Amino acid sequence: MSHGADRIDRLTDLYMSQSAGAFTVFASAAKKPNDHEQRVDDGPHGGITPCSDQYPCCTDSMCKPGCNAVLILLIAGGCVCCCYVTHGFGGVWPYWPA
Amino acid sequence: MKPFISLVVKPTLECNISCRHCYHPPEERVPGLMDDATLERVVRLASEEYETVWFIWHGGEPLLAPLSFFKRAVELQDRYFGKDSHRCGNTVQTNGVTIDRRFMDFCRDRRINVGVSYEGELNDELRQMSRDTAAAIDMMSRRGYMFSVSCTMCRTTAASMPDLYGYFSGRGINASFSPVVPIGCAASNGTTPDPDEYARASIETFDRWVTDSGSDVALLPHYLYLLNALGDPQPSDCQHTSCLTRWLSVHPGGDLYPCGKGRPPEFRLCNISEVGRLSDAFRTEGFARLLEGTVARREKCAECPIYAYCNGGCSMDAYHEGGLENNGGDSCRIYRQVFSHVQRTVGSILEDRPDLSGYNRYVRDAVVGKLVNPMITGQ
Repeated sequence: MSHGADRIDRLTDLYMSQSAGAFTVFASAAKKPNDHEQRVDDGPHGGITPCSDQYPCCTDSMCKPGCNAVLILLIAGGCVCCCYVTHGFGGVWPYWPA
Repeated sequence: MKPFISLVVKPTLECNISCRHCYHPPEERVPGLMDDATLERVVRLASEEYETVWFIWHGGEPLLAPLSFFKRAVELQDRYFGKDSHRCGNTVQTNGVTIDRRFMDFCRDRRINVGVSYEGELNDELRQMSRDTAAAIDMMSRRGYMFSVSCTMCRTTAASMPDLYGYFSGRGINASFSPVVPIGCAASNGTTPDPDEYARASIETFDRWVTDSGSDVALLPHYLYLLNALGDPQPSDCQHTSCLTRWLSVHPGGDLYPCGKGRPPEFRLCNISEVGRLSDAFRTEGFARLLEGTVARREKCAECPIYAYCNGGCSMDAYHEGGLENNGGDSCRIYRQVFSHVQRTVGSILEDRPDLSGYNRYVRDAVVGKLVNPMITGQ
């Protein structure tokens, strides 16, 4: 068996030496995989099954509408707070209750 | 991790047409779909050992597998390689008969390359159901889907290659051309083209493409030859990549072969269920036989002035054209003529420095790239 393995190693080395240029590795930085396999609360997750089966909170399809809704609520809430502390933006919006 | 492997995965060997040049004779084209355990094992083992993997879905006709098969394959890739990791990609090579919008939408969403084996108006020479394929091509063009065509030229069509290029170029479709090789059904049915006639037609097609300034399509493999002649160190098309240890073909039952060109029993490597790593297939007796013959052939090639570009050519082609250890078969003869012509053309462009506006966009970009990057000095 080891004799056979040695023979294959020798043949492989010889083959590669006959076309060394073709075996030159050109480094390319692969993009880091996203972490949808990881739970947002860092809880245990084997990474073997997709999140969507067990943790629907972190799938793409759930995340995008959810993020959008939170963003809209934050902006709307920010506007209301500003309006409150400035008494209707300094009177520009006269309908703010006194 | 090892850097890269191309996997030719055959979900089924069954086909809905009977091409006269098919790598698989009729007795091999039997029904039967790759099961989920095998599919999962292919993806998992590939992800564990290789940094990047290109999956080529072939057959048989791969689209006889249901769309759910490909969705499952992509789901497994997301799981094992990481979603959007850019560590793997896919090409589906199909005869196009059953392509529909649903499948193409899926391919567009998942960035899957689609290659259609099709020879335009000459399609009936080697294939059947040409109207269905033509309708699919029309649909894909009309709706702006990305795809390319692979044209296989036979004895009766080889001389028409320049016209066929014009046909596809006029429709904005990227086309690649290759000759029938005497494998499987084509081993003895007289469909292989005369090598000199094929080479002449290939050169004429290249000359037409080079000065086709209005064209927006790449011509393959000629464009890759041109890049090589300009000094691009990446090997060109699959026949000249020095592919052993970097390509594997997985058959529906999990049997591994060195490439997708048929399944000669002496080069069956093993079954994927028997190995813990894909590269274990490269340590089998079948692979040793292939290496031995290839090394011997390349020793004979060493004096050839273009050996540095062809890397000894395709071992499967050589095996079927006159013996694994022998060079000088039809494929070798065609490559020598076509590549030498490409090399001369490139040399004269670089020397004469003509006005490049009259040249094809791909040629212009490649030549300008060479001129602005003198570090690319050729092999």
